[in-house]
Amino acid sequence: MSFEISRAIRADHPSLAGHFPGTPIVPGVVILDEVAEWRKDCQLIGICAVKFVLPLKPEQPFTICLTAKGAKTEVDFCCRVEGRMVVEGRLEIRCDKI
Amino acid sequence: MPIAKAEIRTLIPHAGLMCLLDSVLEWDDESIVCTSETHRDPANPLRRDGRLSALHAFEYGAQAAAVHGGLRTRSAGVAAPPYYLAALRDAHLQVMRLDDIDSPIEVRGQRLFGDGGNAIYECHVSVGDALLADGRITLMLRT
Repeated sequence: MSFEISRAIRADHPSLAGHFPGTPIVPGVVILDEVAEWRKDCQLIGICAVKFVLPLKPEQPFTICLTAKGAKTEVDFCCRVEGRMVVEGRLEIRCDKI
Repeated sequence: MPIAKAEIRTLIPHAGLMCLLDSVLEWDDESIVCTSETHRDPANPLRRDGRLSALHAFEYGAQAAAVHGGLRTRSAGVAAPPYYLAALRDAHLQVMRLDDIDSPIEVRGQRLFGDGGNAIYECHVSVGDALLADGRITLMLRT
């Protein structure tokens, strides 16, 4: 199973004023929070690995591509801006109902 | 003698409410122990729909590691370079959210690898004896 969603972090996100003054960069955890939102009935219990390859700027549109693994407890994801990878990783989730 | 927030702000570029740690309780060349109550602050800038997801524990961990890098370079007599969170590995969450934890949280970082440039820290975020989250954080120099 695989699907893709589009997102952008607005320039008025409260984290950006202090991260960092004059050069706002979306905090990695804010991107992960967007990725982890994909299914409300699943709980994020771990992050096997995630690499922040390139900085994401406010208002920059990005796509989140999610691929559930066979066991359905691991989800591979990547975030791209205009086709360029900015974040990739593998999450561990627990779902009450699948 | 703990290091207070005003001094933490001189060690990392995080400003305003994004400076998440309240104080450094102790540190040496290999490790750092910090504490914070900002996870309960309704104005915490990482909250989403009023909740602070437990995954933000890794931003606390990354800031502890960055403060440690800042303290080490300062004691070596050079200016602290800006770091960014480059990777996270083998991370586990024991809870879903942090905002409902009433007590101060403790953020520990143990330097596993790295000197000056890239560094890897084992980070533990806990409350009392209970572990909330742990993982390995890679910091890299921002170029």
